Amino acid sequence: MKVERKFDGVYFLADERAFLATENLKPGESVYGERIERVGGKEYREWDPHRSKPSAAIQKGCRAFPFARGSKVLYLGAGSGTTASHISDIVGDEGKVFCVDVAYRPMRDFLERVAKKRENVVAILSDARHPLLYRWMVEECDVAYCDVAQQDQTKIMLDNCELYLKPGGHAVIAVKARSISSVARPEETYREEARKIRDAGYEIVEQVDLEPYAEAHRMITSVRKGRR
Amino acid sequence: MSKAFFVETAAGIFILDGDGNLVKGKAFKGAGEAEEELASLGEGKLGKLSTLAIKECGKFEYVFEDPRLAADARERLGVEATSEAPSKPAMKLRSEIGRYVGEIGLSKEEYDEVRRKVSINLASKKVSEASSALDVSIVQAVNLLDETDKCVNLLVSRLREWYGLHFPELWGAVQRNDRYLALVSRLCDRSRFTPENLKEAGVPERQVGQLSKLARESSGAPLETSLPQIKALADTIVLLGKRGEETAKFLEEAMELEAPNLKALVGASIGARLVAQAGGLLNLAKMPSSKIQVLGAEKALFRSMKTGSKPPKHGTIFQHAAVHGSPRKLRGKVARALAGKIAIAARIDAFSGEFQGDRIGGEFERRVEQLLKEAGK
Ligand SMILES: C[S@@+](CC[C@H](N)C(=O)[O-])C[C@H]1O[C@@H](n2cnc3c(N)ncnc32)[C@H](O)[C@@H]1O
Repeated sequence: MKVERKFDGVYFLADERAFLATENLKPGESVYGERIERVGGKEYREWDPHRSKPSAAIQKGCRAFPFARGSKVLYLGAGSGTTASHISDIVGDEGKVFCVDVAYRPMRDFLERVAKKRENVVAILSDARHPLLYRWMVEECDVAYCDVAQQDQTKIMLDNCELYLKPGGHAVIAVKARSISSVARPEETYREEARKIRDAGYEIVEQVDLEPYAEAHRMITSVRKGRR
Repeated sequence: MSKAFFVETAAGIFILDGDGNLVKGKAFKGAGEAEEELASLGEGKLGKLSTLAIKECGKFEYVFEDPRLAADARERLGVEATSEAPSKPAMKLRSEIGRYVGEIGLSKEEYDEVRRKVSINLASKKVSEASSALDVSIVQAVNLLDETDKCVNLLVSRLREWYGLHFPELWGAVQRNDRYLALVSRLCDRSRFTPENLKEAGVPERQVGQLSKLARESSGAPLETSLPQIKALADTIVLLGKRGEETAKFLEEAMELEAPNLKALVGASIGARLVAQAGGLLNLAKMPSSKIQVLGAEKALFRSMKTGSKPPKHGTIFQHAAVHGSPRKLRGKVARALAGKIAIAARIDAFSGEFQGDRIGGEFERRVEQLLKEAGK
């Protein structure tokens, strides 16, 4: 099996087929049933682009990938932790992932499978529309990632960034066109959301369509301007 | 008076000056105390330790990030308090948290450990409080919604009959119940159906002339003494309709929390109805898709078993656009495909909760396209 590094903690593994994987922070444990591979004394967890939008973005050849070893990440809409567990792999022991979700059912699984097993994860059962309500759990972050699939997803991200993203930090949003408008063309929706992000003082560094892995989704990566 | 900034962490309460220097730091004694205090702060009330910290600090203008806490401090502690979010000192603390927790005797690693423990406990507590409380309410709310609709329709019939004695011509001229209701509740006496009033009531331009003419030439009885009764009835129905809208909104939100996959696939209203007809989300999740397909058509199913007539092809799911919008010959197949996806969505919602609604919805759409294509051949 060949291993090729893509980004911090992210690798392409190849035997008959090539697939993305992250280096497992908790060797021996599969979080949600994903395949585990051991190569050269290291362990990797398959990262399926159909189940995880950042993985889809990498498959689609994104160049901006702000999640890195040691990053502090604010993750909005962590669900039951499929993607969050890979981000936890990537940021490693020196990093932190602050995971917010409003729904208790996925949170129940999140707690069992991710939060209780991984020391670099903080679980927050709260509505991301009210970011102040978890101020005591969160630190200033290097990256904010938003995947809440709500009509006001961009506003939710920006409100959180205002409180918790450091100047120069990255704001990444998986825009789901259909939850914003079911009538507008996705292109229009993306343009509109990108405009909101720019108007709030961010510079957009990359936009990647996630088709065919996630229908009518686009990843928009931006940097918060300004200095402290 | 100089300002003191109140900043909360998972390990304790900090009071800082405008430059972010420590005025006072108070550590929670253990995870239990932290959870209690933070739960209280989350509800906008200062807990014991916060109160103590402020009392020990004395005279300042306290600045909170949450305006509810500022109000609480003013009312219950009688101190000057304002709010500002985010506040600069709080931002500073959140960016150098390791240094600050050091001031209350914790290393960053110890702080991380405390915070992790507190976060898991707080979230677990909320999870267990929320569990299953919602799905019983979904059942109640969806039934209430149906009953509200029935009630509104029944009362509107009564209104049309009664008001029809006064202004019979309006009955035929305004078919939509909501418009009819709005006019009766707003104008009532037909002498008030003037062009200005009608325009103000939002009647479309082209109908204004027609309605005012009908009112002028109406053959109905004056009915003066009864009109207030009729108007009160109309007002009541309007209110009931508004209540119905509120219930629908509650259902939307409750379904988003309880059954997001089902909601993404069939919408809140059909989804909630299925949950109700199955007797709860768990029951729905345990049902074979053949049964889901005829949920809500039980009467027809029993009839077919008794009389040997054709069994029904679909129940509640017939309301889904993809089913009733399909050519008659295909409906059974589309309904079967949808029922299969509903079974999957309900299981995910009941047992894991991971959001896959888009994927499931996409698969269903492709299956329908495929069925249409095959039939076209
Ligand atoms: C598309 S799913 C996220 C999937 C997850 N990011 C993954 O890849 O594993 C969207 C999530 O956002 C959550 N969500 C929706 N509205 C929210 C809000 N206002 N605050 C926090 N989370 C929210 C939902 O509960 C759901 O779990």
